[in-house]
Amino acid sequence: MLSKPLFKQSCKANMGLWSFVTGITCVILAVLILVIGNLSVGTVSSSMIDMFISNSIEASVKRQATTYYDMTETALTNFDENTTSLDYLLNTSLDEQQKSQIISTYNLLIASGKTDEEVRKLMSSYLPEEQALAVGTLLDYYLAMKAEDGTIDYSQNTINEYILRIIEEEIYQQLEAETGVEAATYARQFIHQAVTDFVASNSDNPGEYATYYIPSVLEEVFYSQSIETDGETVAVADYFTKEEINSTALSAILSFRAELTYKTNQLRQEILSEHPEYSQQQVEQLIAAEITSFKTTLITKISKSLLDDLSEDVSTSLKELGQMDMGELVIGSMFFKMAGILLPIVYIIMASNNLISAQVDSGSMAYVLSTPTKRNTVSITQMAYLVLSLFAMFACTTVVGMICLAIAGSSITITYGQLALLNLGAFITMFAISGICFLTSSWFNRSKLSMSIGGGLSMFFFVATILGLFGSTSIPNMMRVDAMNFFNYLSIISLFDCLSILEGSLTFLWKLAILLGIGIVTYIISIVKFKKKDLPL
Amino acid sequence: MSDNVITVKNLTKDYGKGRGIFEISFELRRGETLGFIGANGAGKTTTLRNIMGFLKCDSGEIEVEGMNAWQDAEKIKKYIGYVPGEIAFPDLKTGTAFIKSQAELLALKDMTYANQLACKLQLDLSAGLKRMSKGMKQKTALVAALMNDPEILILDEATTGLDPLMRLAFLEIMEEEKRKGKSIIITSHLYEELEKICDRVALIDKGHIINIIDMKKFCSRTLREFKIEFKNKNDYKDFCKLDYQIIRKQPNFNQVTISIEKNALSQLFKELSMFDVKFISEVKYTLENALLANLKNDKVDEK
Repeated sequence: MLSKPLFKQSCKANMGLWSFVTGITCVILAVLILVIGNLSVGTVSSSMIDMFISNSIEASVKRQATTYYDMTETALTNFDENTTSLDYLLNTSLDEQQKSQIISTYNLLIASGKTDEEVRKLMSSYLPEEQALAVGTLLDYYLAMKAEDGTIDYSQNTINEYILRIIEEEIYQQLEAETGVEAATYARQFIHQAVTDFVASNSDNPGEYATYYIPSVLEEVFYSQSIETDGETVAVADYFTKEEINSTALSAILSFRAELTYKTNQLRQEILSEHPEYSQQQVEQLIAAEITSFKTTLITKISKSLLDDLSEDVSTSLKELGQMDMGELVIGSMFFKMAGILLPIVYIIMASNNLISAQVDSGSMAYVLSTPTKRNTVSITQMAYLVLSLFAMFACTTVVGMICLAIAGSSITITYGQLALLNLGAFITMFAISGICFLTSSWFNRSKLSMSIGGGLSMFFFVATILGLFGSTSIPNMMRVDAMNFFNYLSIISLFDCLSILEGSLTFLWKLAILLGIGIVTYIISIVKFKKKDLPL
Repeated sequence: MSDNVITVKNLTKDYGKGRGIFEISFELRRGETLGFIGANGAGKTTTLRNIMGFLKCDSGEIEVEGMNAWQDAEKIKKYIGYVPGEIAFPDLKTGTAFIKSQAELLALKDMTYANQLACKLQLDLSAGLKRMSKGMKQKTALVAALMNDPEILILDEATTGLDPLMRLAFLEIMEEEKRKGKSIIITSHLYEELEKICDRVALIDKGHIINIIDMKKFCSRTLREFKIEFKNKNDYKDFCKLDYQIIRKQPNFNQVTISIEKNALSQLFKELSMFDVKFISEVKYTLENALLANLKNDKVDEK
C-alpha cells in the first residue's frame, strides 16, 4: 500500500516548508499564551469587572442603609412617642391609689373565676370612655410587666422595656409575613439593639439618631460580608474600607431624608390647597398614606447601580465585555481559527500541490510510475505523508502549547485537556481542507489549476472565517456585527467549534465528525480519480 | 516467450480536432530496435505514453510481454526502462539522491552497473539536480532507466541535449544493450541516429504510421541514383535516348538523374566513356528520402 522510498522523497521535498510553518505556528501560539499569561491584555477587562462589582456592592449598601434607616426611624419615633404617652398616663393622669385600686379590683374579679375579657368589659362599663382606655392600657402594662410576686413598678426603665417589646413584636409579625422567620428575627434583634442604644444615648431626636446610628452599624456588618454578583461571590472587604461603607450609607440616608422631607412638605401644601377645611390630623393621615409607597420608590431610586441606569442591551454588553475571557477569545478564536491555521493552510495548499499535481505537470511523476509502483500506492503514500505531516505539526503545537500553559500558570482559564482538544480539532479541520486540496491536486494535471482551485477554496474558507468571527458570539456584543455571522455558514472551518470545546459542551463532536467525513470522502475520490485518469508523462 | 515483446493493435487516442493517434499498429520484436520518427506533435510521445500505461487508449490493444498495458501497468514496468521526453526530476537535492531513490523504488541493491553507466557517460551524479544542464539531466535519466538492466527500453527523444561526443557515447551504450538482446523503442527527429542503431524505423505523421522501413532491406538496396552533367547539349540528348531509367531531366544545365541497378554500373561507365561528361555524382539515398518518398507517393495516391 505504501511506498517507503516515495514517502522519503516527499519528506525530503517538503521538509523545509513543514519545519518553517510548524516553527512559526508554535512561536505564535507560545507568544499568545505567554502574553495573556502576563495579564497585560486582561487589565482593562479586570478593571471593568472591579467596577461592576464595587458598583453593585455600593448599591447594596445604599439599599440596606435606607431600608434600615426607614425601619429604625419609624421604630424609634414610635418608641419615643409611646413611652412619653404611657409615662404620662401611668405617672400623671392616674395616681398611685387609683392604680392599685384598679389592679386589685381586676385581680379580685379574675379570682372570682371571670375571664380577662369579661373583667375588662365589666370594668370599662362603669367608667367614661377616656378613663376606660386608660384602664385597659394599665391592665395590659400590669399583665406584661408584673413581677413574680405580683408587684409592679412604673419606672421609666420598665415602661421603656414594655414599649420596646411591643414594637419588636410588631416588626417581627410584619416581617415574618413579608420575608420569613429568619429576616424577622434578625430585624427584631436589630431594633432591640437600636432602641437600647437610643435610650442609652439620651438622644431626643429619633431621626437624627438613626441617621448616624445606621451607617455605624452597617460598616461593621457589611465589611465582613461576602456578596454575590453575577454568579461570583466576592468579599466586600476587598473593595471597600469601613469608612467608605459608612460615608456611602450616610450619604444615601441623608438624601433619603431630604427627599422625604421635601415630598412631605409638598404633599402637605397640595392637600391644604385642595382641602383647606381638613383638620391637622386628617392632613397627616393622608400624607402618611401617600408617603409609604413613595418610600419604596425612593429606596429603589437611591440604591440604583450604574448598570441599572443603562438600557438592557448596553448593560449586558458592558457585562460581557467585563467578563470577556481573553484566554478563550485569543487562544480559542484567534489562534485556532485564524493565526494558528493560516500557515498550515498555506502548507496544505503548497504541499498537496507538490505531492501530485506539480509532479504530473512537470513530468517528474514519470520516474515513480516507470518503476513497478501502482498508482494507488503513489496516491496513498502521498496522502499518508500529507496527513501524517499535519498530525505531526499539531502534535508540535500541542506540546509547545502545554509547556507555555505550564509556564503561564493559573492566569489562563484553558485546561490541558481543552488545549489538546483544540489541537485535535484544528488537525481534523486541516484534514478536511487537505482532502479538498489533495482532490484538486489529483484531479487536475495542470499545477496552476490545482493550486488556484484548491488553494482559492481554502483561502476563501479562511477569509470567510475571519469575517464570520466579527459576527460570532466569541467576541463581545459591543464589537459584534451580527450580519457578519452569515460568513460562518460559508466556511467549513466554522464546523470547528472552539467555543463548544471551551464551554465543555459536546456539540463540537458531531461538527468534527462532519469535517472528518469531508476529509475521508475527498481523499477517497482523489485516490479513485488518480487511478483512472490520463497522465501526460 | 513469444517473438513480440510489445504488440500494438489499432491503437487510437483521440484528443479531438484531428490531434491524437489513430489506428496505430506495430509490434516490437524481441531483440529489435524500433525507431519512431516524426515531426513535433505527430504522436510519437502519445504512443509511448499509452504503452507505459500513463494514458488509457480510446480503442485498440497494447500488450507488453503478454500483459495489458493499462490494467497491468505496474507489472509491465518490471520489464521496461523509460526515459521521458520532458526531463523533470523529483524534488531531490542531488543526482545521487535521485538515483538512490529510483533504485529503492525498483528494489535494486547493486549499484555497480549504475556507476559504470555514469562513468561511461562522464556523468557527475553528485551535482545538484536543479543546476544540471539539459545534457546532464538527460544522462541522469538514462542512467536511471538503464541501471535495472530492463528487457525493454523506451527512450523518448533520448539524445536531445547531448553534445556530439556524448551522442556517440550514447550510441555505444545502445549498441551494447542491443548486443545484450534488449528490445528498444526510440524516438527521435534525427534520421542519422536512427539509421545507425535501428533495425526498423517507423514514420509517424499526424497520428498515423505512414511507413515502416526495414533497415536491412534499406541498406541492401541495389538501386543507385546518379546525377550526370554533360558538357554539350548533343551528348545530353544522345544519352537521354539510351535505355536508362531517368528520374529527372534538367536540360538547361545538361543534367540528368538516373536510377540504376548496382550490377549494371560497369555497363553505364562503359557507355559514358563515349560522352563528354562534365561530372558524375551519386545521389545518396537516405532514410529521410525513403520515408518521405513514400509520404509523397501516398499524397499523390490520395489525389
